[in-house]
Amino acid sequence: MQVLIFIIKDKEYAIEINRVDTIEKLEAMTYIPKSDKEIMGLISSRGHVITVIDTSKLVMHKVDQEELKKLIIITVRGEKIALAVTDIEDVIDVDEQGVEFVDNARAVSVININERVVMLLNENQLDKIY
Amino acid sequence: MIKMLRNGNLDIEALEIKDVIDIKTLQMFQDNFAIGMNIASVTVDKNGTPVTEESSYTKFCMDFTHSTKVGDDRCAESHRKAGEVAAQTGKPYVFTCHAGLIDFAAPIMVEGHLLGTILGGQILTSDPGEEKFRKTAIEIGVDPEGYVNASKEVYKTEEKNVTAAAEVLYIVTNALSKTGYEQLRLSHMSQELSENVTQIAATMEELTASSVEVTSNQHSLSEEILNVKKVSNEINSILDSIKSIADETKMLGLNAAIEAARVGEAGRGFGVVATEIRTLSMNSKDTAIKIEELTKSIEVSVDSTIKTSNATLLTTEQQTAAIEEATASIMEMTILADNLNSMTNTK
Repeated sequence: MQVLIFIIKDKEYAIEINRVDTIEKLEAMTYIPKSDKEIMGLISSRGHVITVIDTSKLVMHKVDQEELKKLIIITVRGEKIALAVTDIEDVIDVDEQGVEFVDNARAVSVININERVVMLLNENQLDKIY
Repeated sequence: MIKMLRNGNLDIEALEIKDVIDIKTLQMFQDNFAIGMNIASVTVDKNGTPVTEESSYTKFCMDFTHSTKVGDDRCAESHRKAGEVAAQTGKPYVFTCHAGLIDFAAPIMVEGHLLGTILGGQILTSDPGEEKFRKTAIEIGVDPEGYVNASKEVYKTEEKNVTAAAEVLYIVTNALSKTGYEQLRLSHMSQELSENVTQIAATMEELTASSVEVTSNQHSLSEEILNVKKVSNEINSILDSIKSIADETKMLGLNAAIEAARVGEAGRGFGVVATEIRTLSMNSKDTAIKIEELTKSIEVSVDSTIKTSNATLLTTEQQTAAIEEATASIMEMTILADNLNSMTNTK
């Protein structure tokens, strides 16, 4: 399978490429007052209005929103959302057998890329995002 | 003759009496001395040729002894010999001439070189007897009686008077020649000084002009260097757009990969193209970064060049000022040297 490698702050993460609709640069965004703090704002992409999600929660530490300049647009529960990330690095092939779970509840999965252990976003995390 | 040696010094060998002593002055001195002391005299150059008129020559010598060729030759020979002795000893030489009169020869010298001889005398300190004169008269072929009579008119004095007279002529003529020689040297030196100083002044002026040019060149160099810095800044801004284009290309490549993955097996070929696009964008970015490093080192070099250039500019400006000052001093020196030259060359 192919995964998209991206960066939040200075850490690498991966997401299955089949889950990704497209990637974009974060340019014109409309802020929404009084919204949930995970929601950074709204953008318009290919005729859709898409909610931009702050991924700080995902990585469990605060990231300056100014640093989040790229968007990974995915579909969750039938709705397109944009994950704001620092940068998007690469698309690489990984062996499906290489996906490992780090806990008994099989909530967090990781993959091994060139001796680096990278967290692979799965259903669990994506459900919690939004 | 006034001749210069290769090294710029006066050629003392070529020097003649008239070069160092004003002949008119010498003649006047010699005439008055001759009348005052009752002693005949003449000045000859180093070859024995007279350079002055004879002063107070006796009838005995003028009308008789010098009247025949034999007599004249004997006188010349006698003078030459006496002149030689005087030159060798460097002192006045008192002697008895071939005709029996008392004569003297005093050398005129500068720095040990003989310029001529002042000859004098035609007097007697004791009577050599008529027989001596008769014998000489026959030998040189003049009338013996007339010769004897003329000899009686010859002024008689004591030897110490002759010696003193010779000494006076010696001292005065040598003092004159020494002064004349010194003046000649001074005149040549001051002329040379004036020429050299003028030459230096001309050179200094050229130097001033060229140093002004150096300063102005340095100015344009500094401006040119600043231009290089400006250009390097422009390159940097272009590099920024190249990097941004590379970034866009990367995004495009990644999106292409996503699209390729979506269509599965059919998208494999497109996936390869997508990878190529990503590689291309990465290469562009790397190249841009390398160029940026180069422009940074250009800027560092330019900054250090500007620093050096400013220091050079300061130095050249100081140099120009110093040269201008030196030129002004040399101008003053030129005027002094010219004054000195015109002073020493006025006779």
